[in-house]
Amino acid sequence: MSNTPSSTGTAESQLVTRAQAGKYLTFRLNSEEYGLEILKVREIIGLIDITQVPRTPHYIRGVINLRGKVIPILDLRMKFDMEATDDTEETCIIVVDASTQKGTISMGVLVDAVSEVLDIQQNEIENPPAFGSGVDVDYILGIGKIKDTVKILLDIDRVLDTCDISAFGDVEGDQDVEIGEEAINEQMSENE
Amino acid sequence: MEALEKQLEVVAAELVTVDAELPQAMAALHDKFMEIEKIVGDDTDSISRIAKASGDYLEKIILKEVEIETGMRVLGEAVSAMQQVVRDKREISEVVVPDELGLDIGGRGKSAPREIENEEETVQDKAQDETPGSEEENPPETQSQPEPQSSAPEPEPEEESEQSFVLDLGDADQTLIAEFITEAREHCANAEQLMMDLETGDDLEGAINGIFRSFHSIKGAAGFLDLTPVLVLAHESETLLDMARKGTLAIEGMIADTVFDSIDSLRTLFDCIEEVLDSGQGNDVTDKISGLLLKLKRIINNQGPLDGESVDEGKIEEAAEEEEESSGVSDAAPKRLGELLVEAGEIDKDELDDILAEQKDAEYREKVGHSLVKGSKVPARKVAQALREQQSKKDKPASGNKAVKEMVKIDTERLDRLIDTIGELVIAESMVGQDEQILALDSPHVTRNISHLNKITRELQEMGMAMRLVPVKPTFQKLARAVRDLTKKSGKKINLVIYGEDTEVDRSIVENVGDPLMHMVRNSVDHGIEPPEDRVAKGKEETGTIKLSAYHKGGNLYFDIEDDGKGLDKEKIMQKAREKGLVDPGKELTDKEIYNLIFHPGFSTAAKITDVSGRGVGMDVVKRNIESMRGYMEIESEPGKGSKFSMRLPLTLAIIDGMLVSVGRERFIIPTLSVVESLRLTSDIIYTVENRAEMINLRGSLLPLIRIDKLLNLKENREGSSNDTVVVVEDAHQRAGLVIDELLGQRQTVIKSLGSVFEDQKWISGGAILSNGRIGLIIDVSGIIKLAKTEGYTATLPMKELENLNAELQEDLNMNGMEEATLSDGEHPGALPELMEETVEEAVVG
Repeated sequence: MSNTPSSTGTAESQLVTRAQAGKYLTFRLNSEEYGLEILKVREIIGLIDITQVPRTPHYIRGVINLRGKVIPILDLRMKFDMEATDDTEETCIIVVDASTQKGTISMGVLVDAVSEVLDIQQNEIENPPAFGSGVDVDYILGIGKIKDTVKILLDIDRVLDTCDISAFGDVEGDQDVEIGEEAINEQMSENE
Repeated sequence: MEALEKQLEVVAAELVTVDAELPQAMAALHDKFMEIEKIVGDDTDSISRIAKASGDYLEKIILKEVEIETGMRVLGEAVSAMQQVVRDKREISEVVVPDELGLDIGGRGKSAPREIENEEETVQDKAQDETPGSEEENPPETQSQPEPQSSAPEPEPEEESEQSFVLDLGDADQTLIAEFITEAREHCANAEQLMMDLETGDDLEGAINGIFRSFHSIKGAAGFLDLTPVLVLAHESETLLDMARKGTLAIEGMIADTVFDSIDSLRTLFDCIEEVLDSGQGNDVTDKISGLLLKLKRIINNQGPLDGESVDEGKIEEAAEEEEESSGVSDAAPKRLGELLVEAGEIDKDELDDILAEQKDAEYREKVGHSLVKGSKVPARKVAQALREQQSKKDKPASGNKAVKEMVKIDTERLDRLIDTIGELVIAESMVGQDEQILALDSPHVTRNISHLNKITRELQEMGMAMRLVPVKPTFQKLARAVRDLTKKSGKKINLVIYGEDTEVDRSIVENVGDPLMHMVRNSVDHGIEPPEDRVAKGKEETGTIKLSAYHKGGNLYFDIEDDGKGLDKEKIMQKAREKGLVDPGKELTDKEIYNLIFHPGFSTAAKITDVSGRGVGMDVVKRNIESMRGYMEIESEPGKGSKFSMRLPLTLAIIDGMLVSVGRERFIIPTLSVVESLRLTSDIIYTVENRAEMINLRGSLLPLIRIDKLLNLKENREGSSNDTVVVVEDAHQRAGLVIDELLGQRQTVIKSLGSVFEDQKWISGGAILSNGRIGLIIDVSGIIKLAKTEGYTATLPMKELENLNAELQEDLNMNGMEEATLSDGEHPGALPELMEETVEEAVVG
């Protein structure tokens, strides 16, 4: 977890890269290559039957039973507003342990294909360029340039933290208190 | 003498092998020394004195007042001195007793009480050393504490109890301390249990010894770990108990309360230590124990052997009478020393009677043995022999009925992980067993192997479940203690009877059931059982009985709390309910409905509020607690005869009884507890309100209809859904109909939390792992009703309007002459018209 020293301030304002040298698990999403700090990765599993959870954002695919543990699955394509494709043989789930505001949670990230584990040196990492308002660089720890390829190093904690699942299913707001309950409450306050 | 010789050899051997760094081992060794003292029995005997002094010295080693090395050498010398006297028959004057023990073998002037004093001083000195300057810090006003009522001013102890105790663990070994706390808590529970036994009066001596041992073990370990406050408190309590053991003090009334207080304070201290462990900050606990210490010291100094005159004579007589009574009971009880001596022909009955009479008159009680020896009626050796005989008789039954089980302590987290893993294995096994491809093989060989695997898995699962089980005994013990305290406070006489304390219960339940049980027991004491005079006036026994039982029945766990008190007052409850507007005037309720009214928040019939109960925040919390465990509460009551509260709980919280339903492709689980009934949805029972919300007319009462596929936006499922079954569900406040496709049957499934990601989805209470390994979502009934309301998918009409509508509807239908029977009977769904019955049946079957 200490691999992400800065959780304050945005990437643009910093001269030092947020990404650190080390091992990264790279995977493919559409035609783009991404990297994930290996320390966050718990395991990689093939696609299994996912149970949908209604009333959650479209990028939450559902939940799976990972050897008795219930784990939510985030569809990264949907999260990044890429077009939906059918799952293939290569589609798999990377189970990560992410530290979010709600504490450490295990979550599955659905990706097109897992590529390899890369050892990335500090001099191969650059800060993401300013893309303008269209692209959210908050998710990006840095850009890794290895040989001729470019790997986008993801800040998975941030990605998951912005998965505001509750936004859709907000059933709070007790405006509809039962009549009976109200009456009792009133009486209670009278008694006091 | 043989036994003594043997014991000495044991001690000598142990002394060589013992690990002096381990307080437990040292405590065991200490017990061995005490054994010697016991075998000799007579505390004027030099062997006994050496043993006692060695024991005390050993304590000093444990407390690290003496270097371990020198300490062990001194003990070695002491043991060899004893051996020389016993084995080699040498005179006590010929052997070398180490000076460090502080014994004066020549002169017999020093007696046991003096030694107690010494011991006390050393511990107190130590305590003072640990908190230097404490006395200056305390203003002298404390001197003006009320003096003990009877003479003999003892300024010294009072000053000392004002010293301050600071819990600061410094760099002590945290795991050792944590272990100590666990162990010490067990000792406390044990001591508490024995105190109760003591009060009920079986095996007095055994109980006192047991309590003494518990305090002693705590003291030893606390000394080793430098937990001064615990040490001092345990030490003082131990001194008091030691007096009880010697028979100079009777544990009853105020003194018994003090011992209970000590146990409580020790527990408080343990809590503080845990806090300190967590925070790493020192904690001043002076105010938590100083009062109690003062009390303990007063008792010790006023009524102890140092201050014979102040002993309440009445008390002694009482005690002596008790002794007389118990001595004449039966052969089963251990014989008194005097009787044994009479049997042995050493003295005759008359002589014994004289001595006993003398003893009764004496200012303080001396042991029969002492008196006999003093009056040179019997040689000391004979008395010792008789004492040994008495001891061996006493020991036998005690050692016979205790089966020693070997126990291993396991971290609960590890245990949970093991059980989780077993759960996964069970699921994996059933996935393999039901795999279509494997079944398609149709090979007897594979089938046999799979069924073998299945058998082992089941066994493992059962073992796993059994490991989670713990007896309810500790919970019941707490209740027994509460009843005792409450009884004292309220001045009522109550006998608590406990059944089934060995009933084994899932750990998760035990953790949650304590509070509701405590509450109900308090209720029974406070509201149920009448004061003694009322009971007598009603022709009942003066002492009330509360029966507490735990048992398994029909796959459920039951807790019953039954009292023979005044029962629930139906009139009063109804009156109160009407006052509060819970029941419409003129409406009659069944007994059961009336009793259930007490579960409403803010409902209490107690005329005055006591500190025990009556604030009206009780029973609704109890009910909520029980419901959160998916349990159910039932009340039976008969005026004047008592009431019975019955709590039904599932065997475990990890498994839920649910109805598996399908909505399109999705599978959901509705907890069976919330399901009222299910029926076929036909268009003629649907009514719409303002053309948007739907309701059904179920035997005259209107229920909002919730279409799950619409509410949850299950797009892909729209087509092909029949949507023709309604499951009527209810939560605490209301009913609603959930529209689904099909009932797939009842399942027991393991509940899994969906984790923090979905915690805002209030309509899901968790996930269940289905037999195919997939996850089914468990619907939270109150959550989904609430959700439907906020989303406007159902009638948001307030109850009143709904009722009016109901009435209108009835009128309408009545005018049209339709299905009169159905609707006029609207209030009582019990009487079903035939037509309806058929529909229901069909729905259940189909």
